[in-house]
Amino acid sequence: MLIKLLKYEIRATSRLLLPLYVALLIFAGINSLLFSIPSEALNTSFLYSVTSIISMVIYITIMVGILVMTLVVMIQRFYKNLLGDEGYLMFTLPVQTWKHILSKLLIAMLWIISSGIIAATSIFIIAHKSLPLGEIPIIFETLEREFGMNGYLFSFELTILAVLGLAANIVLIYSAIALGHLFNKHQLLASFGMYVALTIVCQIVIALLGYGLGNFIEFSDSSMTINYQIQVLFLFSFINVAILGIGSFILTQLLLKKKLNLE
Amino acid sequence: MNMILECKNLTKSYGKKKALDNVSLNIAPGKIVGLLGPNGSGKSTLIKLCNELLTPTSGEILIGGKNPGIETKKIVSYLPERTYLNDWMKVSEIIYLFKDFYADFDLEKAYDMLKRLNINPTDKLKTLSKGTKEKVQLILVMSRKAQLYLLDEPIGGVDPAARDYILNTIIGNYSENSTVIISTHLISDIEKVLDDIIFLKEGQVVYTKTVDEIRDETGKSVDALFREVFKC
Repeated sequence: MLIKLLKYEIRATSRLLLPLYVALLIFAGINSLLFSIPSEALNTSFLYSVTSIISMVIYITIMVGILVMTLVVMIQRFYKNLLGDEGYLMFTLPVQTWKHILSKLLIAMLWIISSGIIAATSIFIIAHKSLPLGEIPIIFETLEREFGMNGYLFSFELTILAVLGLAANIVLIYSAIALGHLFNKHQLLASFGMYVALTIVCQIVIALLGYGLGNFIEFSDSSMTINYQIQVLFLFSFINVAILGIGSFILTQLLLKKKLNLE
Repeated sequence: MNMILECKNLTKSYGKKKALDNVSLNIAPGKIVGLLGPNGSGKSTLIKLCNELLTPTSGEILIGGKNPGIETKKIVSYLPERTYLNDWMKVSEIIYLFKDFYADFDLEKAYDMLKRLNINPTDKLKTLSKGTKEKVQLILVMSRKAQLYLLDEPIGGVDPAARDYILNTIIGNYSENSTVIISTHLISDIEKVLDDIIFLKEGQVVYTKTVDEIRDETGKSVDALFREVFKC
């Protein structure tokens, strides 16, 4: 059933984002072409300046559009499809509540990551000549030499942490929306208020955990390598993100299962 | 006999207001039951509780002996009082969605009903009129071979000609195993298909009888009795 939910979730969302992706890549290509014209050939051309400004403005507009649409898709698919009128259909399907939440989460992550990759690709298309990509191995070498760190491991850990952090933050937003839905009036405003409140609670919890960790490990201890300290920080962050994500997921699941009240 | 639907001291409150107040009901399989009452009497609340769209304040619901959950959703076909159709699918796509998720969905029957009601499967849901959307939802719901149909205002928004077709479809589904509960205040239209009636008033059951009993005991039609019981 999860696979089926994912299939319909992709169909519902891809029609909103894929056209924007295509448009962005096309305008990245156009901008790249315009940049590649030798400058001395066109210094005098008014038409060239106007064309390049317009195509750059369109490119940036689409980029902003993708950003906004990605956020809208993330929030609206949860709010409208589960807690709006469409919820009457979704919640009477013979599907467990957690699968609904997980399908929304996975597809929201898919689009956020895809939007990021498409945006990066478009920047690469436009500016690939001036990007310092050749420096990356040098940075990795320096990390290895100076701090005893493996750059590849470090990047890998950072990526995993970013993906998990993304998931945790989306579920946090879901739980805020589900909490806001408990109110009889002004549910969107209540959801926003709940998000602020939840964020503050999380900050406090993380600060307390961090304080505990600080007592547990003496960071000024000179016998500890920087690499070791960074690995401890990673571990700490993983635990934080896991607690945040799993906690929010359980909260959202409980609210939708036990406190669902579709108007 | 095993009841298809049992409510035990069911109460649902919104704040201080009680939408359902200590309702106890037993509905046997194989009946067409009219859930009748004025606006705000708790009809929709009762049906939504059976579908787990609301959670009871107290009391219990059993459908085929089970609390509302995945297992009951497999055997309950529910028509809500509002449209739940999204704005991006075609009629054919929402039909395949039902086929995908409900094992008891009869694709052929659905297409047959679309044809009878002159609905084009390739039309977008967004472009359909309100009445046509209601018809599509009814087709989705009635194309399942469910054990319990919960129909909340199934004929409210459709024209009288389609109303007859829909009522015939509902009767056509009648079998010894399936039960239909219809909530409505358009009593005279559905009276002829009903076996039993339940009158709800301000969240409480005031009357449960078979239609035959009503005719024998009072000599009145259900519609006339309704007007008497709920006289303003």
